[in-house]
Amino acid sequence: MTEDDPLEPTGVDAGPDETTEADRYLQVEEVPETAPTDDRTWRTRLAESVPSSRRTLKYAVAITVAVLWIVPFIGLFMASFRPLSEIIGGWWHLEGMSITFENYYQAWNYSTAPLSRALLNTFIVTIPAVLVVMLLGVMAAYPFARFEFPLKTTLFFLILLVMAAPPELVAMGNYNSLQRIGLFDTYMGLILIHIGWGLGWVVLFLRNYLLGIPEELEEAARIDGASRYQIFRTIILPLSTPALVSVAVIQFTWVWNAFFFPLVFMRSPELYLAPQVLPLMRGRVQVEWGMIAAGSIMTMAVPVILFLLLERYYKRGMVAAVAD
Amino acid sequence: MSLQDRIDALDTDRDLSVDFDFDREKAVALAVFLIPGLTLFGIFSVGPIVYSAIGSFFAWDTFTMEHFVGLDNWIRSLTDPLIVHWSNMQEFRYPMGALTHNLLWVVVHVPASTFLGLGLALLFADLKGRRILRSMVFAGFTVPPIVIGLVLMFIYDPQAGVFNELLRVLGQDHLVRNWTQSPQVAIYALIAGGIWVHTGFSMLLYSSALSAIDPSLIESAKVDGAGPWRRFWDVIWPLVKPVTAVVVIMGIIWVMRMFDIVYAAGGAAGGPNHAYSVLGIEVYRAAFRPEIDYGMAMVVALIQLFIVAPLALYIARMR
Repeated sequence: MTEDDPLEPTGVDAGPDETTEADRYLQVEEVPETAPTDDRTWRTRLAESVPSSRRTLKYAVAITVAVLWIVPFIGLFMASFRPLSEIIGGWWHLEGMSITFENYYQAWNYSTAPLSRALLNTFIVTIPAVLVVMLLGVMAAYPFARFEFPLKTTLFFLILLVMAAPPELVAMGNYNSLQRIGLFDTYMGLILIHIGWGLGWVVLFLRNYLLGIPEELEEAARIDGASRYQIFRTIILPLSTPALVSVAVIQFTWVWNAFFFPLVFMRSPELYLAPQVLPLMRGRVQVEWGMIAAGSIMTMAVPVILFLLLERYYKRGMVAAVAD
Repeated sequence: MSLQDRIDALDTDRDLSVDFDFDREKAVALAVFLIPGLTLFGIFSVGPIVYSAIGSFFAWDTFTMEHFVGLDNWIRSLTDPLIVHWSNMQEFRYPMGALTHNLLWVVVHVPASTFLGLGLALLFADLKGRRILRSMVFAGFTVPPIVIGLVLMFIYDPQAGVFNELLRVLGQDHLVRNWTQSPQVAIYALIAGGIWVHTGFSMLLYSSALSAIDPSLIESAKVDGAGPWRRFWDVIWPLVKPVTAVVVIMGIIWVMRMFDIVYAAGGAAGGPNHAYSVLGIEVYRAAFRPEIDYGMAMVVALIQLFIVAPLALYIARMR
């Protein structure tokens, strides 16, 4: 074979296959007399099959780094099960360790705002905020991906602008409008704000995903006489399920973890959300580390477990949301 | 789709709007799909931003808009020592103002978390069990940021904190202190915590870029006798370079929005005497803590947007 000529078309470009049966097999005279010599000596072979010390070192470093990375969380976890005196002495001292659920009991029934109630409130706000954003988001994303309509570009710019804006920027306007319509300090008010805030990235994310779905499927359905709504329901919705799961996981985590919006819009202690309650648990004199740790573990358990269960969707969605 | 495409599409929009008028069925469908979402988006996101932009030029009686005052709020806010504290900056003494603190976050946090993220992505790239290793590093990013702030207070606590214990073990007892409450060093302690959380995110983006590289490229570079250093610069780096822009910009956006971690450590004042307050904290304090100063809150929040918006548009253009 001659050298690769970059200008010579290869593969599909090379036109109809011109090789004949004879070309595909070695001719008898081309068969070499001796077996090909091994390009690797037994020494290099052996070295390559046994993990090198270099590679072992790499594993050791990687595992050490990863473990060190979660040491603060291990500390938090340990502290949540130990009495305050032992925490102050250092959670890393394992001798004489006593395990207690007192911290969880205290946090669950915390006098200012019991975490039992706060966690329930967080669910009450998060679940509708996620479901409605998913539905409205995919509905709005569909025209953005498929149709031309006036003001499309303007709307696109507005979405980008809102995605860049800090949540603090919408707090003042929303505070006044919620006061005016009487939804301030209610579940509904906070849910609406989370929906309005989340729609921007969800529409953009789902639009990018829908652009990747081939249009031929819809064409075929349209020829069969399906309406736009039928196409949306029977083709677009099922095909966008993976993207919708990503949206659900990420939006759930963000709404659950949100601290600023509840801080501004939820003022009655019985409506406090879990992230709002945690900083209140700092005592005046001695910081109640045990209770804070137990409360933190309970609050972070939900998004972390969700992440571990749907890790693939979470990571893929995260990457697609920012990198696509 | 790049921004340029969008601009080109603007012209097509106009052409199409002619026959759009005749297509009643399509118009109805568009309305059904778009109006519910866009209404909520308009009322709770775009509306308040416009409201803030207009309100920043008006005088405020607590929550009520009064009369037009031109640039008064802007001048007052930008000369407020809580935003930029010139005299302290000259002596390099905290507090130096929320804007300065935010920029310091950008300067220290963003490069550090980017390099660490790339480093960990490369380290984990071809190991068995890399999914678990990555998840361990990334997990912090899924934890509520307010918990991160409390965890940082816990780590830096003089008695119960593991960081101070580490100093003691290393024989640096004179350094032991309550790091988050010491005005002159607290911001670095918090930035270290920010890097700890955010590196997982940078690593995730780099990991997905690395896994998209054809392994045969690296293999052939190996065969050609390129060492790890050459392989990185000549093969890997050119391919992950575009991701770096995204990582850096997302880092800047994350840092400019910083609120929860600082609030957990320092409350609405952003630490003792605003020692490590950031712009988000100043917006909250001006808008919802007495003395309420809506005008200033709006100006500061708009400054946050102005710093970040061009970067977000740059990402959009890159596509």
